[in-house]
Amino acid sequence: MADTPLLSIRNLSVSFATSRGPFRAVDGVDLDVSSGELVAIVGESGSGKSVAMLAVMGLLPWTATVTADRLAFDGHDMLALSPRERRRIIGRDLAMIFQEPMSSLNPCFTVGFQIGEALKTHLGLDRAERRVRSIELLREVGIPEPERRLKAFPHQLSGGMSQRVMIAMALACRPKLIIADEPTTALDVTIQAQILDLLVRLQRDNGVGLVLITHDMGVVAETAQRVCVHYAGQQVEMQETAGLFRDPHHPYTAALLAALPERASGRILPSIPGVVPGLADRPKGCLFSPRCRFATERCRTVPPPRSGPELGLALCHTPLVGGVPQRRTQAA
Amino acid sequence: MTAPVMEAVELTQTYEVARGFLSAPASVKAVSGISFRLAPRATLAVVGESGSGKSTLARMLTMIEPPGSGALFINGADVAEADAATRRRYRGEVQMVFQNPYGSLNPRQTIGAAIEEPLLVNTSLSSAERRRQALEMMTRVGLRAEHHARYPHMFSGGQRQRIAIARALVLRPKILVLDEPVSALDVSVRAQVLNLLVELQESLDVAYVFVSHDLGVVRHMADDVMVMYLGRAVERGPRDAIFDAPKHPYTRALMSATPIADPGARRERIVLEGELPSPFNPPSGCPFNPRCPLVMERCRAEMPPLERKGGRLVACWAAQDTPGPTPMQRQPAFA
Amino acid sequence: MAERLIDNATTPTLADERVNAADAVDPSGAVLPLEEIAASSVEAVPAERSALAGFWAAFRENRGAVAGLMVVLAIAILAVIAPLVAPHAPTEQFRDFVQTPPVWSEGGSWRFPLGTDAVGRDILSRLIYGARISLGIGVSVMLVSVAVGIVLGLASAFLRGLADTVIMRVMDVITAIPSLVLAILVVAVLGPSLVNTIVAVTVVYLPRYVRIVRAAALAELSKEYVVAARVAGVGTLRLMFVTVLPNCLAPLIVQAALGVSDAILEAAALGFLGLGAQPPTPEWGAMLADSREFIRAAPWIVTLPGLAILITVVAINLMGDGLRDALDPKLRRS
Ligand SMILES: Nc1ncnc2c1ncn2[C@@H]1O[C@H](COP(=O)(O)OP(=O)(O)OP(=O)(O)O)[C@@H](O)[C@H]1O
Ligand SMILES: Nc1ncnc2c1ncn2[C@@H]1O[C@H](COP(=O)(O)OP(=O)(O)OP(=O)(O)O)[C@@H](O)[C@H]1O
Ligand SMILES: [Mg+2]
Ligand SMILES: [Mg+2]
Repeated sequence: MADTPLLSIRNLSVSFATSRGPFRAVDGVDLDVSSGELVAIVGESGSGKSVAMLAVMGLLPWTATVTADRLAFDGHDMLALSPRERRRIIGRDLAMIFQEPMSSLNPCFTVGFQIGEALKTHLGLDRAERRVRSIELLREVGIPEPERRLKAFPHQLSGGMSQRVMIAMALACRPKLIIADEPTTALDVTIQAQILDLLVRLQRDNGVGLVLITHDMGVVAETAQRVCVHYAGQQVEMQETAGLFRDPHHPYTAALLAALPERASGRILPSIPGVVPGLADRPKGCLFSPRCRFATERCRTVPPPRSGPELGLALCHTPLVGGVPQRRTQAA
Repeated sequence: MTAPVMEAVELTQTYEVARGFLSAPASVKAVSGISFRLAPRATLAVVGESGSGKSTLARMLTMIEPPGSGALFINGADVAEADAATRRRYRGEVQMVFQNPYGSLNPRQTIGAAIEEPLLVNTSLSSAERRRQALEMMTRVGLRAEHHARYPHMFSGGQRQRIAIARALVLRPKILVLDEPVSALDVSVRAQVLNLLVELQESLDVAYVFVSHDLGVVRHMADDVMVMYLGRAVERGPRDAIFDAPKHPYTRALMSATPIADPGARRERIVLEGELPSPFNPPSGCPFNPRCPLVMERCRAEMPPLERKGGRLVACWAAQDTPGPTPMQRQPAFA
Repeated sequence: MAERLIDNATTPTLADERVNAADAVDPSGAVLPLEEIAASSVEAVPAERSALAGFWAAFRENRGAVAGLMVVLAIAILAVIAPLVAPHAPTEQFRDFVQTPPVWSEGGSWRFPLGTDAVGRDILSRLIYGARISLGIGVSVMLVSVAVGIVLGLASAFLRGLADTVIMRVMDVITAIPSLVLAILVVAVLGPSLVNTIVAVTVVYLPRYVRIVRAAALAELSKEYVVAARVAGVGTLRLMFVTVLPNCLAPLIVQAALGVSDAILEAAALGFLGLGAQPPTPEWGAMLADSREFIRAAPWIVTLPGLAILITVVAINLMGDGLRDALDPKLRRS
């Protein structure tokens, strides 16, 4: 990429202090997002997708230790920022949308008040300007009768409406980057389609960068330009969407795609045996090795290297090409 | 055609919901006029959005709630009208697996006790025999004998769902009602549980009523599909007929809204306006008319009956008796 | 979330491999725990704590609670072995040693370490025997009201309708009357005695247990595992006591622990009013009452039973608070 990316992450790791010792929830994640780009992060529950993005936002609890070689947003080093400066950026240039729309809105205040609050703190608009802008925002996210909805309390809205309000709040200060953490998981498919339409339109028309966290491969296929696959806290593969679905390079990605019922041919799905390793059974070598069809002795004992971009940056000793593991000829 | 193991005739359930202190309670028709026949070893999938009455139907089928009206036959016997003793006898024939694997197991009960409990309360087997049968069922669903004395919190979501399945099958029911059994599971674990369900259906001869909102999963599992909207069946028929040529505009919208894990797929996307109407005052006429792209004058006035059109039953005035356009002719989704 | 961390069980395919591995390693055929089998290829972490160990670790963090527990244990042990440790019988009157002060003040002697009361009874002995009675009242009130509270609370939660209304309205009436007045009323009807004190205090403290059990049971009833048990054919009685009750116990245990101290106080108050234990029973509240005219002349006779009550109640409350923090997962650190 020629221009500097909006968000640039290198080797981000997060570990939590637990009663049984440190737990690495995110382990060496790299990510670049440019303006007007939609990057999806997929992975199973507990693979550290949310924690990685919360680390970018600086929203993790004190038990978390965040380390990174680089964590830059729009030219600011997020790790070196004072809390005050970070608060100024977060919410204005960098916004986040959460999974549970119902619990992300404060039930005690009206929708209008909550949108207005963001406008007041970050943009310093006065009352009348705030009202005009709020109505404009609600109309933009497709809420009918925005004037009336301003007075509504969150419990008077359905899930889809609340999620639209969340998006309107995220958009309030025209952010450069939006991180959407499973924005449609709690919604029905027909509502999900509306919300995804809205997000994609915003990203395309307004040139915002969008990081979409999800575990639904269908959503990824239909929206994203680039996909990061997370497994047990590690980023195991990153590719353009079309390439990832056509020719996955990491065995986990391949197995994940094969396990989708809509891609299966027979009655029995090619499932991945076993479960994601937890704190107690974290393998020494490749974290996926206990469940991998292609695992060798080396995979079980030696942590895998990262492949080049032509192999989807796959974190694997023997990345797949066309479903066949490639033995490395020379040490990279 | 073999005799159905389960037959539902015009099942209806209405709830009274208290609205404040002084106002009269409102009534919600959670399910109205659902009929179907379920053949032995077959799978009927029930799909629909949140609030369409899928769980309410599941509760009636498992006899947790008596239906408000309508009849339910299990192995030919009417259980809706039956007394408590008869219902008890048929209890072992219909069992259920729930959506949330974290909430459907008693946290203070060991796995072994949970699986043995149906045997304890429904049969007079000795404790050794109960244990033997529980262990056998655990092996079948892929749990190990030493899991017997562990508590649910020591298991992952997929394993808990296996435990729930073992518990439901230990009485050897003829029918298993699965209320969103894989919605809470990750893709890789979901495949394991679906495979288990397929295997068990073959080896234990159970029929499934499979409630889900995931069309990919439904297409994989179902023989017959019933699409529900606001408590009513809007389309019901063989899986291939429905997936290849959906007739009801709601079914079509549902299918086009379901994301497909294939970036090259091109298809027409019908983005529905609005959301599910409030069940307290459903629209007059066809319940789908406020969101329907094909809405006509007649739809606002008259409720369309469930009629046979093009190899399935469909409740729509606009549906034609000819094969419709297939939604699989795809166009760019969000390009 | 924590569940994922402690998840060490695996699904069949993987598990089977591991079982085979275990068979190969261990000729006796015993299946080793997963952690040991997998140890070679897996990073080491400390083993998961059992529920009890986890509870104790959380409880131990609260110093006050541990101190409270020690004091309560000490008093309970004293009460149990009273005849062995008390220097004298609690009702024996030493006519020559009336109102002897404690050892540390002038005129005291080691024969009566805490002095004697107005009729020459050894105060230390009476306090030790009194612990039996006070703790006994506290514990028995707690046991009876918890048992009755469980039955009424569960009945009210499960039967709903009329039974629920009747039970809860009666509880409302009981709470509406000031507790001491109600206790006096009950004792007045039944006549003053130790047993009737227990009955009276039980009635006074019943509503809180009924409410706690009912609220917890209603919360549990809305969970899916209860429906699952119903589908499995579990009858109402089994559902009440086997399925739901164990899941309602945590808040009940905390309340029960705190209830002991309240019952001790209430019984002492009744004793003080002359409506509880009758002389010469060495009950702390009654001891306080008997000696209140000597508060100037011989202050220790009044102060010591008062201190005993205070120490016991504070210790039990500290322990109860710690119990609540340790049993409530929301208040626990991961
Ligand atoms: N505050 C915390 N303390 C300890 N561990 C934590 C904490 N927050 C998260 N974790 C752990 O970090 C891991 C990653 O969590 P994260 O929420 O990022 O997963 P995720 O990929 O977003 O999953 P999901 O799809 O369920 O949202 C999990 O194993 C989780 O248990
Ligand atoms: N016990 C009840 N009392 C009152 N209304 C109820 C009750 N149970 C369900 N309903 C109502 O009946 C309708 C159908 O609910 P149901 O739970 O069957 O939907 P569902 O299709 O299972 O939805 P989901 O996908 O969210 O589980 C809803 O409008 C719901 O509010
Ligand atoms: Mg998350
Ligand atoms: Mg449901």
